Amino acid sequence: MNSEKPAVLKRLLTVLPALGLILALSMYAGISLGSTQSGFFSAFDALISGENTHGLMDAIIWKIRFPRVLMAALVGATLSLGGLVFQAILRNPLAEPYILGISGGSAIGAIAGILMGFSRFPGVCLMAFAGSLATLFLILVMSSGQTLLRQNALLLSGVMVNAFCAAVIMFLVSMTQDSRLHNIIFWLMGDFSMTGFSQAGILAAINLPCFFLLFFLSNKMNLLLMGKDLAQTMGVNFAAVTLALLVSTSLMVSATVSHCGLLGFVGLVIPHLLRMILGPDHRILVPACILGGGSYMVICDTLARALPHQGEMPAGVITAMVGAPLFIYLLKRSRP
Amino acid sequence: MKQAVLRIRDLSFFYEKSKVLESLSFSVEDNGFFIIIGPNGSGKSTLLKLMAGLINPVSGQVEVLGKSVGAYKRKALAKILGLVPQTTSMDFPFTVMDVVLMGRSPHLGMLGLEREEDIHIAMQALKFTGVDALSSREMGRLSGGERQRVCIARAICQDPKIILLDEPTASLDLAHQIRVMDLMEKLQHEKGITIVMVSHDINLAAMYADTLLILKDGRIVDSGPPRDVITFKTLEQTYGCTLLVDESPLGNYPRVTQVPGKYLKTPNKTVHYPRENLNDA
Repeated sequence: MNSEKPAVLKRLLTVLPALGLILALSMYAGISLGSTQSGFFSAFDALISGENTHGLMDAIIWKIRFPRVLMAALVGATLSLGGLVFQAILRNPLAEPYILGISGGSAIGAIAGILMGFSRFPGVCLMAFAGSLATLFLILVMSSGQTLLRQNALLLSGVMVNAFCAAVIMFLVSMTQDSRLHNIIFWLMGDFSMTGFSQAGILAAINLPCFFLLFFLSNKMNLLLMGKDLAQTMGVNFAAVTLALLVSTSLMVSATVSHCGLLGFVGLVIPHLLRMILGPDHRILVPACILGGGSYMVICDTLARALPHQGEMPAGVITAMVGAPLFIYLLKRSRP
Repeated sequence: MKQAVLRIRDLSFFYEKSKVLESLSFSVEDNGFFIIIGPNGSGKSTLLKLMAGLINPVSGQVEVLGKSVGAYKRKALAKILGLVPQTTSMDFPFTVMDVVLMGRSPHLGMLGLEREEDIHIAMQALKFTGVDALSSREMGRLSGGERQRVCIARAICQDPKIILLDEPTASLDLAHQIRVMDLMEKLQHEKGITIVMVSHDINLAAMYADTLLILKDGRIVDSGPPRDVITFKTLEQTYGCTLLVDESPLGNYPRVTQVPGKYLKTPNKTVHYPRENLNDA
């Protein structure tokens, strides 16, 4: 065998450490910044000295900020990767779980779960998964036939499914009158404020295996971009690969939505940005989206905590403010 | 006698309730240049998809190297059979090299990590099709003819025994049409690959095919060497219009000429069918 490393591995060895460093830096910034001033170095002290020390600052950092930053990184990674996978399956650079209404579908499932009094895990999570699969099915049926790959049919289907989901969500919200209302609304906009280590741990346990599976399918995603027929004649078992991609992506996205609500456009912004810098090879993009998407969400959440003078806003406000204009720009540019 | 690499036995296919192909049986010889022609909706493209194992027949079967196409694993079939579609659209910024290397994936592992050797094979394929200078260009920025040749290079990289092509010249100008057809002939002669092509262009088909299969409404009208198959009677029956058949100025090939309606007002006076007479004799 040739001892020379394949070109893809060489590129991964330069790209991943760089993105890993960015993620580490943004996580550190996320831990040290907040409404209670901690200063750059005291956060470092607190992290080094561990959880057992006393003092308010240590408690804030270990009990509140650290799990929250971990959660944000995990959520950002999941949603970016979700966007990347949908773009490959549907061969459309504008596809994304939120835009397609799949996030909305899992939100309906999750809210229904909350109202029925299920616990976050596994009840609400499974309801969200069911909701996402139902909307996915709906979108595929609506845009199927010859126009499946046409941008307009797909995006319009997504817009309609999204509108319908929004109506159902509003209906459920308006039927709710007790204290759960505020929780639901805040959660809907994408919120990390109620995160503990155990929640981050549960989400990691569901999503990390999906990340690995998707990395192993990354070369198949490249081939899928050549179209169903060509992919099959190049050795891809289309039905099996597509099913694995759809189910694992829906699972991790709905697990994420059931924990943190609707965070839009992350799956659009990050894959697009990374594709511009690193090219379209999914073997590089899958790990890059995990690290880059994680950094992006940590930064958005830190901004959401740091920008308001009083209290904080949901991170979803920031991701949508960045993402929606970019989506419009991409849509305009994609028309000849 | 040459061995058959593709054998079609009593093949039928339906979409919904309408019959697309009805009890077709024929075989494609090893290292042949086999072209399927016929009017729109005759079932040509469906037949090609059946041969590539992309759809399953309602009845009958397609055998590749003596084994039913459905019995192959996708990856194993990809080492025997390559496909070049009519057009390839690409919304993602893959380079020519990226796309051609994809053709190596049936020979590689799960992640398709390509070795030096594979890059060499890809470069050779690009040289063979004459687009090696474009290797770092983006697919989306190539002309139709260039893209078609990249797609052929990708199929060559699979190292197949058979290449199936769906109207590869349909959207190309005259120069690129000949270039693509010459390329396929070179593949047949120099690499020993069997070429199976669906085409609309009967004159091109006549100059390159060693076997021509004429399809109409899902049935075989005739098949054999172009000289035997391209006759006034067969063509009129197939296309439902008057077509002249004579000798190509290059000699040796039948040439088909379409007849505008204004010439048909005085039948038997201006229209002659020299090839037809030849065939009757």
